[in-house]
Amino acid sequence: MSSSSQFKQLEKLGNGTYATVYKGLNKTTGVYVALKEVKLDSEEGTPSTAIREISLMKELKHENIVRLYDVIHTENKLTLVFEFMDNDLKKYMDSRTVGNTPRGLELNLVKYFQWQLLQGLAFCHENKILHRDLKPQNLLINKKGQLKLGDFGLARAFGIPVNTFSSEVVTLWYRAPDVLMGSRTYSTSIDIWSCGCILAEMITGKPLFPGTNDEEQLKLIFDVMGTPSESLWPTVTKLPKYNPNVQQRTPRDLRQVLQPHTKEPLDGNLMDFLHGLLQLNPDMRLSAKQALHHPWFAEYYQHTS
Amino acid sequence: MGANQDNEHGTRGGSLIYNENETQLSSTNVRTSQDKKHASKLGSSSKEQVQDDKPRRALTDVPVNNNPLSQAKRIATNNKATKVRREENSKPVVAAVQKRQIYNDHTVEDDAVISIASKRRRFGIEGKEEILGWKDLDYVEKNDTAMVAEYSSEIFEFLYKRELETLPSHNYVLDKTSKYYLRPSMRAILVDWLVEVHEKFQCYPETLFLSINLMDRFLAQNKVTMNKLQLLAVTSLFIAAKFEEVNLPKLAEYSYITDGAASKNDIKNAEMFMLTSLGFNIGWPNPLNFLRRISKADDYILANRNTGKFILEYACCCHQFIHLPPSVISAMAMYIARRITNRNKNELWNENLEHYSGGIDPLHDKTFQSYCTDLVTDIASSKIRLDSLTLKYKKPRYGSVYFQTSNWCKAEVDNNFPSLFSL
Repeated sequence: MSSSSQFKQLEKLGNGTYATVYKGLNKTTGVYVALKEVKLDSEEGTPSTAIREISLMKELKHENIVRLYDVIHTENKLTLVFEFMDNDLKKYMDSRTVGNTPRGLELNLVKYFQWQLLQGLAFCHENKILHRDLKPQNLLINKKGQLKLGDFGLARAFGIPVNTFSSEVVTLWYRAPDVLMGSRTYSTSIDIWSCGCILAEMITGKPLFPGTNDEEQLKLIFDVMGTPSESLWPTVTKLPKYNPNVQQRTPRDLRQVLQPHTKEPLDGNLMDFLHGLLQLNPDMRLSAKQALHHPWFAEYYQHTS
Repeated sequence: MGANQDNEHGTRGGSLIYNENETQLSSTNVRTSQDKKHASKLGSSSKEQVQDDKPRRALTDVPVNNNPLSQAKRIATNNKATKVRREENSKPVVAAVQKRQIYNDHTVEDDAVISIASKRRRFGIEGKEEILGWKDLDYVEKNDTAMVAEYSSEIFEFLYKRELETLPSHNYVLDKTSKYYLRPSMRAILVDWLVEVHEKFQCYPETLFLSINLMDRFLAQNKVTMNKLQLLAVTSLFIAAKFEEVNLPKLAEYSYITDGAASKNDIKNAEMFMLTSLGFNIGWPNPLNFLRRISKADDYILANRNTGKFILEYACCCHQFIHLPPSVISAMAMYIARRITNRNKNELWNENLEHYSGGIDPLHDKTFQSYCTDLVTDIASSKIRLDSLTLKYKKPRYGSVYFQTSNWCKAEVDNNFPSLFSL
């Protein structure tokens, strides 16, 4: 029987949204695992985040999604036993910073990571699950160059049509403009915006829109992408926090924004792809499935088919 | 009809004093914040007094069989048993699943099925969608993000598979030989209480269906003593809400609504025991997904959908269909609703409806027909009382669809089903 005594708890790996994560060693098999400990002393019983994360991840078995092996319940805590991953994308990018200058990843690696990210995400969406907290910290990588989606603490299942959900989701820097403006009818496109932000960050090594509050976050987005117009996004004016008085901006050339931070030339396919992810209007964003068929990935899908 | 009078208090009182000689229903008292005063008035009836003398605190010990906290529990993340154990009850399901494969180009095995599938595909290539049989209605909605048109077929493939994995293992209410047997009237009291509390809490409709599913799955594999049943019901709702809702009712509210029958600690302990027992398999294909899917092929006719929702909710509360997959129950609801409203005068069903119900063909599926007949009979007879449910659907807010539905069902039963399967 698997119990908490079967695992040797090693160093702390980090704090998740509602739990602490340790590295662990399975004493019988000698395999490393990640042990996510959820305290159960809450006033409201088992945290809904834990209930959702466990039940959703049990349904999701994919090579680009971190596997949940087991759940162990002891007196006052739940321990989730996950597949061990060497690193996360955030730490990996940080480790490449030279002095104070962040450096992006090689474009080949960027493409490989982005491909895996979208593979994992397409699988979530096909299984009617929104991740809602995609960011480099939650993308786990290993020495083989595999990338896997982790931390489903904010994830949830959706129905068709999609119900209204909380707009208090996704870490600020990766939060879509429609959600920032209070939309609660978001769907799979909420995760796609995050993918766009992550792609830009992998290229340059620094976050694309590092705002400190909702208002500044929107301003940073509009500074680069332009202010939304009713012609391109008819329903934008109906969003709860839409501000008609915001200073009008025209879109900047994304390539000019990103190119100074990377040595490799950013080609047209890549820029077109990035634009497809970073559409202000959620209805205009590529889906994960479409994104995987974008010409930027030609070498991958020609390979697999 | 006199029975159609919307008599809120009378009905409520009925559910409270549901008379079952050998059972102690102390735990099924209905108390809610709004009608607390009224409820305590009812509480002065003699039966209530007897119950009040019962030591309610008996509930503070552990909810069911084993002490959930006595030892570390292992929850296997792979529950293969769910797939095997449905043999006895699965005939209609198998029929539906086989039909589904007609639409699934990848997994056809049976020769006959392949021939139908390839025929359909051939027509499809020629581009005559009328001959193909059904129209791609998802495509029309491709610009509506809420419909997730791009993923709908994958998502429904997944849901049809998933619903079989998350069915209660057997109908513990129909099977008297089951060691988990529970009388139908007991379950009716529980689900009806859930309907009422769910409405008071103003939760999403999905939450009610999920809580009934969680409760049924638990009861199908655990013996629960009478005085713990209400704890089980309230805990099912507590868990379902955590999965579905954005704004969660507080634990204290759940405890309060049981009128002291379940303390906050009871619910917390029961929650972990239930989660563990269900292996944290909470994600479940909600029948509303299927009802909306079929409604798409029904041109989203509002009258059909409103009536369908009532029949769907009734069927999920009704003990006879515990072992049926949600997609089949949803198809029954929509099929019967269409007969009742009679908005579709020229047809009982069509290819679109067949496709979007996951391959259900009510006119040639005898098992499906007998389930529909059973359901209509049940609604007509109201032998099992579901007072909160009927009260809810008498309200204008829910289109007052109870009256028409009930009258139609009674007429069908009285006249030997003249129009259930014929125009």
